Amino acid sequence: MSDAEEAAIEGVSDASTTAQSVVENIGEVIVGNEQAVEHLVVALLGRGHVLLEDVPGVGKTMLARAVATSFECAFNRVQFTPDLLPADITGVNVFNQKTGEFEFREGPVFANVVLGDEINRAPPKTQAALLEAMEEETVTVDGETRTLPDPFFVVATQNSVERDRTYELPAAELDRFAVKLSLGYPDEQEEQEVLGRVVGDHPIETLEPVATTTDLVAARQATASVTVGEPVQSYVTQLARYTRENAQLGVSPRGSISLLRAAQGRAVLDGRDYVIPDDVQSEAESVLAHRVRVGRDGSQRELVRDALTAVPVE
Amino acid sequence: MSTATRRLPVVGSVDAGRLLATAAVGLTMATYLSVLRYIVTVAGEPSQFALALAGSLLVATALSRLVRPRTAAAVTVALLAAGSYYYFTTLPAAIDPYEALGPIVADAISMLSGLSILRIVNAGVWALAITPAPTMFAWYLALRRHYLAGAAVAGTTLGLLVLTGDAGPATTLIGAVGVAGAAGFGDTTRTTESVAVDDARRDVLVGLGAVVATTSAVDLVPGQLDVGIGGFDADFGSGGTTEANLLGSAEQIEVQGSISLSPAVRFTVESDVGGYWRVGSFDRFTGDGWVRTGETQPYDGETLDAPPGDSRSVQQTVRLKGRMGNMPALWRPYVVEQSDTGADVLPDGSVSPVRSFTDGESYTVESRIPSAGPRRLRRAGTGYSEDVLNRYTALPGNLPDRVAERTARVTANAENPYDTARVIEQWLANNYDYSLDVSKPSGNVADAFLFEMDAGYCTYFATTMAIMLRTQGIPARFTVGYTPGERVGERRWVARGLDAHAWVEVFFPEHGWFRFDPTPSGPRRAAESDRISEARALNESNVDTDETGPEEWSATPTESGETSTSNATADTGAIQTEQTPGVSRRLTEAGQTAGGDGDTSDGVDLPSLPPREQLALGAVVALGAAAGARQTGLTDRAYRAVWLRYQPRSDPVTDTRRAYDRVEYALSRQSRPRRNGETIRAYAAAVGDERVRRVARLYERATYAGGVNETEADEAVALADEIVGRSRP
Repeated sequence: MSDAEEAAIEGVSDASTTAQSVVENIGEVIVGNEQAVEHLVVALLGRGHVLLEDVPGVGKTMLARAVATSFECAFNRVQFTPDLLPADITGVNVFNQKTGEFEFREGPVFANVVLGDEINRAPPKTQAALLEAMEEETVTVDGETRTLPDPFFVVATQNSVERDRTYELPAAELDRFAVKLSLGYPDEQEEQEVLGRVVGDHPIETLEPVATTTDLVAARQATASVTVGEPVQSYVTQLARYTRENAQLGVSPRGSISLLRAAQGRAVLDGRDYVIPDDVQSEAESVLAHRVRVGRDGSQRELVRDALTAVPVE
Repeated sequence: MSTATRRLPVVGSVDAGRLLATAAVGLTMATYLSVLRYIVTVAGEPSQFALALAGSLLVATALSRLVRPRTAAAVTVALLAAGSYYYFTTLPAAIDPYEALGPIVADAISMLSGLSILRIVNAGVWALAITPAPTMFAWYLALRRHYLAGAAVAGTTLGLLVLTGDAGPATTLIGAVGVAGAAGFGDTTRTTESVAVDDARRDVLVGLGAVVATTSAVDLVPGQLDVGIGGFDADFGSGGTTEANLLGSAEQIEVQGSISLSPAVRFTVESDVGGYWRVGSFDRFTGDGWVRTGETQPYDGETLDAPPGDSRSVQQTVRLKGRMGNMPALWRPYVVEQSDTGADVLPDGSVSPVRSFTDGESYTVESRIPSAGPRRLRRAGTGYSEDVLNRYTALPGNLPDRVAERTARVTANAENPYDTARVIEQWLANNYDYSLDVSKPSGNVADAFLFEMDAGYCTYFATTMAIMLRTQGIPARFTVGYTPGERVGERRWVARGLDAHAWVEVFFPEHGWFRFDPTPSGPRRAAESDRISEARALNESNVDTDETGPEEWSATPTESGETSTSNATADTGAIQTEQTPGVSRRLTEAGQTAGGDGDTSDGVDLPSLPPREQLALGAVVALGAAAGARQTGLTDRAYRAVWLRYQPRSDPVTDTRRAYDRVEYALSRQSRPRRNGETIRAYAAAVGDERVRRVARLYERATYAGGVNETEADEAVALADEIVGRSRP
């Protein structure tokens, strides 16, 4: 075994430790929903961005903040409203009268973790500004391109009620989110626990960081080096093809890439330096479901589940 | 299909499947080709057939690389048209094509309803003409991997020959196995899309094959004799009696093995003279039987041809007892004066009823008996017409030369055809024993009787004599009918079933056909009278009329009626009776040794191979079983059983993966197969124990991480051995 490989395995086990501690840490704040938390961390490791769709008040913002706090990194929050302008996100050039020059004032997007709250309330132009940042990890203002900090991680939320007066995200933009999650209501016991925790200080106020941004960057690199064997690649391809054959709009190649990256993230979280089909299966629903368009009476998640049962595993 | 089966290596390679499928198409082709070759051998030029066959295969091979099926089909149609034209031009009466069309269509219809191709006068040409088209197309399709279509073309051709009755049960069975094989083996090359359609089609074909095979197998039950479908009822000629064999089928006779005698009375004749009550003759020898060629014409009430030379007129009135589809009469029938059923005229000039006679019906025939004596026949010469030579000196292509050589030696001193015939007749009667209990030889019957057998009955004697004569260029034919039977009064004879007989007629220019009987008549009559006595003792019905009985008519001894005719052979019977004393003893001996191997009767019993037919049949059954086993997945199962328990080692990754495959297969039998979308880890967790999960982990490492080391591979294989061993029933 070569040194590079050994180093990679070393990196994977470190990344695994980091990821697990982060999941644990977030669990301090978010009661229940371990799976959603894991998916989110997996997406984070796979350099993906997350879309949370849920009813108000189930802890979407809290989740994003917990992630930011765990890595001890800059966190910004943007509340999307119908009158929000692109410049409100990216930042603007302001004329400094003292120096007589234009100065760039960074917008909220310049942070490691950005929470785009109720993203569907802003007009498409504004949404597009955030989506460009997500895709390119750069921001272009007045012809000048500025690089966003690394790591850069966007958590956008969507309200699943009050769909009127909103701008539905087009499929092309939905595709840019690696995963789409929903937290859902906690069950009775969990809700009671939530109430118990918020008595006194809110746990988010006392949450301690468990890793650094450097750790996160390293973990992301380790994740990218996780082995994906040919059978797994073919499995992912076949899943994508299945959705294309059985839905109005199937999963794009970008979706396949996202799934593969998420599977790598899952392998890391599991402490493995290679992807197995189980990794793909556990991430498939959250990665693929929002990318397919099914008929009137079909369900996106059901289609993905169908694909998982229909496509044979090597 | 479970994932376990799918991931199994395919048994045998795809190439083996193709090879077998091609072989199966070849087998089907071989069946109809063997029938056609047989026809050409009997009635044509075998070398031309070989040429046509080789040419067709070559063209097919060339076309398979060059042209598409549509073009090949066009070529096939062209070949068929060319073949038909060739056949057409060789027809003797094809002066006006439109006039010939009617008979051709009629021929085609009667062929499809069982008219043997051998009964066509130009059978050899016909077979040659038909050969290239299906052969070319079937082989082309096989080479293009359309195995089913190829087998279908070959099978259709075989089907035509089955309809004409030329393809026997064994041939049909082999053909069915070939088609089934093409269907069974051909599918390995199919794509997955057509599997469902293919399955359905294959099931139908396999079912069809099974039906044909079963019926054929029933036909192949040993000991059953092939009784022709004549106009006989069960009471007349059931089973293997000489009569059913000789007179059961009007169109062809197959030489049989053991045969028995029926003592039942068939008819009584009132006639001025007694003689051989002749039914008909056969002109084409096939090697193991005789076929009558030519057309049967309705009798129009006019007089028939009289013998060319001097003759005397004899009137016979025959009253039938029981049903009978023949019209025995002295040679040569001249006028049918009265018949309860009307009459037809066979191509050789014999008469035949339009439908079977029933009990008590009668007919009256006036015959003209040729009266030339030996002196005149010796001087008759050899001025045969072309027509007679073509028809009555033809020999099958598979007749060994030694028959002609032996005949030439035997007849070296004979100076004319009459003496030649007489010498052969005597020589056969003196050198061969009479026995009804013989096993049918394989190959050419005449050759086998001459060189391999030492006893037989009339069919053997007559066949051999006719063939021997033909080798010397003397026109001869095989004739069947009844011996005079028992004389019960001055002008009355009673013929029984056991009087059915076969003899030879030889043609003499200017005089016509004359009878020679090479069968030793003493032993024959002894066997017949023994049978009558036995039947009387057993009180069998219909043995006697009120005129017959143990007491012979006193005026002349038995068979004296024969001597009273002026026929040239009249005296031979008496001579032979004296020449062959101790007949019944020899008959018994023959009966005891019959069925055994003639060669092994003295000396050491050498182990001998079974006859060729049995070997071929065995091979066919084996091939069929192989196809069936493949079809039912038996070979797969056997292969898997070995595969499951014995793991050859190669590299660690392969070993580990195979170890898991074995485990999963064992588990799939034990609990349930892994589902389609189920991962190995999930499956192992659901149905396996700790060891299974460990093997599954190692498999994952081998498959997805790209490596396991030797130790891990060893561990996986050891665990697999353990798990599989436990699951062993």
